[in-house]
Amino acid sequence: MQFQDYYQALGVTRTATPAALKLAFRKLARIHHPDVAQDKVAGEAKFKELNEAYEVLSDPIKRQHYDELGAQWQPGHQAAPPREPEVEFSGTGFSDFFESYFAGGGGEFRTRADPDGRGFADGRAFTHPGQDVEADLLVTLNEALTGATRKLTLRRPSMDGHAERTDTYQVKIPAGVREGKRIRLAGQGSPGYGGAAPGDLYLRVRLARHPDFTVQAADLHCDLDLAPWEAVLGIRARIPTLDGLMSLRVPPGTEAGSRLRLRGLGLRRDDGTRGDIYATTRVHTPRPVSAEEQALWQQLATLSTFKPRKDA
Amino acid sequence: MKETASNSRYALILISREEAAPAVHPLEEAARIAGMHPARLRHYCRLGIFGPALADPAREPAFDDDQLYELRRFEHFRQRMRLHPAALRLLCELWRKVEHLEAELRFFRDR
Repeated sequence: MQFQDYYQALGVTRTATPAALKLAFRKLARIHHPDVAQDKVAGEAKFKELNEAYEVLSDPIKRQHYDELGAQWQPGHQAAPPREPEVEFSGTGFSDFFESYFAGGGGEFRTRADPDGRGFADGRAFTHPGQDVEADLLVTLNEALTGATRKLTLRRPSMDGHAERTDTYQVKIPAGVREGKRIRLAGQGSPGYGGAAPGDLYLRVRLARHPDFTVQAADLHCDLDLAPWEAVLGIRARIPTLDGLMSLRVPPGTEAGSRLRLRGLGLRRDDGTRGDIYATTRVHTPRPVSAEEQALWQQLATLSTFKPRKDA
Repeated sequence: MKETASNSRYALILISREEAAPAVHPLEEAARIAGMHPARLRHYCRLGIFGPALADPAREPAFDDDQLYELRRFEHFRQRMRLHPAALRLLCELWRKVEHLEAELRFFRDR
C-alpha cells in the first residue's frame, strides 16, 4: 500500500491552519472539478485525490492520526494495512490507504470488524450467516442530484475453501442520496458457513466536498462576495448552481452576513422536491486604493451621516 | 442481468442495483433479512425504536436500506452481546445522534 501525501496533494505545509487548508482545497477543486476540468478523466482522478486529502486533514482527529502515521512512514516503504482486509474495493473513489486507515469515521463500529467472524448468528456450531461488509462510496453533488451508475470492484481473498474471486458491480446511485445514506447489495457480503446465507454489502455515501457549496441536508450554502458599493446600491449577481449559472438579485442596503435564497435549486428531499441554495453575503474592503479612490472615500466619509457605532 | 466470465482468472459477476435489492422493504421482509421474528420487529416499532409508531395497526411501516442496516446491527448486538432492548434503544438513539452531529460538524467545519 502506498502512503498518500495529503499535504502535497493540497500544496500546503504540514503546519497549515484549517483556514489555509480550506482555501487550498477550494482553489484546486475549482480547477479540477469534473464539471469544469478540460481533461475529464485526469480531472476526476485529481478531484478525488483532493477530496480524500481534505476529508482527512480537515478533521483534527484524523489529521493527528495521519501526522503520527506519516512520522513513522519510511520513504518507499510498502506498509501492511492495520488489519487484514476481508475484501478489497476499487471504484469507491477512495484509495486503499484511506480505506485502511480512515474509512468508516476513524474506528467507529463496522460490521466487518467482527473479531471472531461469527457475523450476526447466534453462534451455534458450523452454521452461521456471512458478515456484512461496508465501504464508503464517494458521490459528487451532481451525482447525488441526478443519480448515477458506478462500477465497483471487490476482490475477496481465498479463505476457508472459498476460491479468491473478483466481483464487479454496476451500482446505481439513486437520485436524492444524502451524506451517510447506505445502499444495500443483498447477499454480496462475506459468504456464510454451513450453508447459511451470505452477508450484505453496504455502501455508505460520502458526498464529495464541492468548491462552492457546503451541504446541509437538502440545502446548499455558498458565499457571495460583494464590494461595499454593491452592498449599498444592490446588484444582480451571477452565482454558480448545480443547474448552471443563475442570476440572483442582491437588494440595495444588503448587510454583510445576509442570507439570500435561491428556491428549489438544492439537492433532492425525500418527498422529491428540491432544497434551496443559501448565499451568504461577504462584503470585502478594496485594497489597495489609489489616491483618486482615497479621495472619493474621504468625500463619502464627509458627506455621509451614517453612524455604525455610538461613538462614530 | 448477471454475467460470468469463465475464462478469466476470477469469476466476474456483473449485477445491477435493482437485481441486488429493492430500495424499500415491507416489515415481514425486513424482519427476515434482519434475522428476527416479525412480531418482535412489530413490538420494537410499537416501542418507537424503529420506523414510525404503529398508530394505525392496519398500516405497517416499510424499511429502507439505512433502516435495514440499523436492524441488522441491533439484532447483532441483541443476540451476540445479550444486550437488553432498553440498552439497545439507548444505543440506537446515540448512534443516530452521533451521525446527526457528525453531519452538523462537517457542515460547520466547511463554512
